[in-house]
Amino acid sequence: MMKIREIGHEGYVTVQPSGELDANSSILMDEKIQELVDREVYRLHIDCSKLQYISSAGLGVFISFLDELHERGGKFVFSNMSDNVRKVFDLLGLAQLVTIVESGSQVEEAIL
Amino acid sequence: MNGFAQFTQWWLSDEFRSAYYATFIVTNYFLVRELVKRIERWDVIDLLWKLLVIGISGISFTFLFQLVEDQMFEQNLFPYVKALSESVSLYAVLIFSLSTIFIFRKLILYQKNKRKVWSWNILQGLFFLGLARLFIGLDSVTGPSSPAEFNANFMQLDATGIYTSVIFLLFLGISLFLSGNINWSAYLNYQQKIRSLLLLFVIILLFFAFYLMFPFHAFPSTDGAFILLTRRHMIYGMIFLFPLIYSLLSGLVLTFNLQTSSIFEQRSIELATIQRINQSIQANLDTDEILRTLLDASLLTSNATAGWIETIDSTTREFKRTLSYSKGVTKEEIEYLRIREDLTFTVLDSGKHIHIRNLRKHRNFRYAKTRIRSLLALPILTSKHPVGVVYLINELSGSFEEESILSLVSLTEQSGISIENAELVARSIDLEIYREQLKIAKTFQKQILPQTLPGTDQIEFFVKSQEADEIGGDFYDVTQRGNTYKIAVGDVSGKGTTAAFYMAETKGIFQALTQLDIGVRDFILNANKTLSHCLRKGTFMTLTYLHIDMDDLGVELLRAGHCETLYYNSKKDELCSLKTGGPGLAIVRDDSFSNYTPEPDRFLANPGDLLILFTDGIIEAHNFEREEFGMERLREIAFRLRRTDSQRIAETLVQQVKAFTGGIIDDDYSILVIRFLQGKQISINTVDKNDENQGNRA
Repeated sequence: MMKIREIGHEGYVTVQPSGELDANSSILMDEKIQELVDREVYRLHIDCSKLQYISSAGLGVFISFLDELHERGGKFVFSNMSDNVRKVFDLLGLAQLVTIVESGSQVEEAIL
Repeated sequence: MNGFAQFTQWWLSDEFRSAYYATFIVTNYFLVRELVKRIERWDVIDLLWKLLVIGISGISFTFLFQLVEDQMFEQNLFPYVKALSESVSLYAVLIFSLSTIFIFRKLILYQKNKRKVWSWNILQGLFFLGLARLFIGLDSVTGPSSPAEFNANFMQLDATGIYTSVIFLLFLGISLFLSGNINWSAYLNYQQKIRSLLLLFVIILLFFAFYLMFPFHAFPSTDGAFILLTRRHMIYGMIFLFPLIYSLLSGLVLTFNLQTSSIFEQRSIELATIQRINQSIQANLDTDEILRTLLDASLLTSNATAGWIETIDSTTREFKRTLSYSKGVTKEEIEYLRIREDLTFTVLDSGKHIHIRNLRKHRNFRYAKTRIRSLLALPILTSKHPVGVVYLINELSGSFEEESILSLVSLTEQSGISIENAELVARSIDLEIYREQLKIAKTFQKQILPQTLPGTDQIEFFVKSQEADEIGGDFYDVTQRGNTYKIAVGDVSGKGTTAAFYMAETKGIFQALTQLDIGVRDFILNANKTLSHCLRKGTFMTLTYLHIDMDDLGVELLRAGHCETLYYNSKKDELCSLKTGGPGLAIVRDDSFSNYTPEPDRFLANPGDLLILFTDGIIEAHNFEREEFGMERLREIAFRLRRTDSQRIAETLVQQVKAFTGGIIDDDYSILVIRFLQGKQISINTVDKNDENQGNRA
């Protein structure tokens, strides 16, 4: 079962999913992001350090919020991706659409 | 002494007389036993009636003969009539007593057990031991000459006296013990009890009548007759004793049970009703019908004068309630009570019934203007959700007994279970319908995907695919337009029905687009634009799209978020990946999509070259250690098979993936192999999607 942690920062929020983001757990992720968007949080840092696997449905969650965040001047920043996850992002062409940074220290610079 | 005198003496002797009586009693004993055994119908009233008839006829005969005897007192025939009258009287008593004994035996052994049967056998044994008393002590004493002497002797405990007393006391004890078995009375209703009681009363009266008419005067005489009398007394005593005790005790038990019997009866009627209702409720699969029956049944089995059922709609979270059924009560009355206190949710939340004995003493209803005095509210629950509440009311306070509340509780519980069953059945019917529909959908989907792929002596196609669930989102198509093959392999995100529906939609879009003579990149840009409108937000599609011009074997290939394509160049004998491409379709939904989408790969293929297209089900297939099959393994196997035909390549690849995962690929997968040929043989390959029919090459 996937777990999602939320850490608030000055100007953005870090969401840290752990486990596998598949068709089932994507619903939780979707609810989480929707909740943040409802709270008018548009700068989202997704910490992938504990994300073991992401399926197409899991990616769909981020994809579905891409436009909305963009329109509201926000963005997704992904960090600490494992090779597995990174490969999927690359394959799907998402790497061009979102910001991907190597480590957490680069997040602040990329997101604000 | 002459012969006759001898005979007379013998005839008058104690031995003979004892033997005579013993034979007489034993014969009749078995006779009556047989007769009673033949009564097959077990009916208390009927048995007692029979007894009564026997008793009354006996007493009538006795009475009749005594009348005659009295009439003949002065006449010569008198001694004979007197003897006859005495015999009749004795016989009547004997038959009546024996009948009583055996009919009571039938009653006692109702619901027989070992203990009862044994006690009965002992009683019977004691009876025969009592008979033996006729032959004991014949010579010991000449016997008391008067009752006074007899009484004096009776107290003396000589051997005969002890024998007599022991037998008699034992007999008395066992009789008392057996008389405790009156359980048949529990099965009689009030009326039957009254009747049995009357019959028993008459039977007891008959015993007294027989006692009064008993020809005691036949016995007393001098020379030892009194001893005989006491001996016979004992036997007659025994014959009298047991039925008398039993009738008296039965009568008492019946009298005491009369009061309770009406309650038991009502209870048993209730139980029978509940059982009947339970059966009808259980067989019922309609919730409304179950609730209606429940209300009817509750009213029937309780003292309630009116009642209603409130149901709540638990499918919505608002718990909207409705008054479903009511009997003997108006909507206004119910509404009025509800305003005072809403019991429905209290009952449903606690899951326990509420019983208000007296509304006048209840804090919220005290000043209510209502005829209702007592109220009972019972929850109807399934294990998953509350259904509603049954309300029962009465205009008298304290009218619901604990007993009937208990049966009402079990009735409502049963209804809850039945409603749940009904829901389960309905759900499983729904599921069955869905399953059927899925089957149909699967058949349709198979038709959406091409059943046969084109092929010539210059090019060969073979595809192998399987949907993970019943239906899935994998898509492939090969269309020939002029001298160009247009090939698409794609995957709609997600699995199952949704993906399949989008896949079907995609098919239409692609079919339309392939009719336009546009390049590979334009195709993908147009497809993105159209799919962005069609697919739900968050749903996307990955696609590899290519054109093969058969004039020069020119290949134009572009990837949209899809897995890379393997290309085997037979001239260079090398395998490479074609990766050129941009994001998947419907991810970027505005025109900026074209910015991310590059120009396609363009190259000229050679005869003998291979193109292997697949979906992520292949490379993402994982084993138990969650290790993915991956591109490297795929390349290795593809390279090893580079000179075999397209079917062999596709099937071997799938086999290898399955061997890696341990038999199952839990995602949709498709492999499309394209082989450029030298241009000699003509072949058309059918699509083989069924794993079990491998090697079935057209």
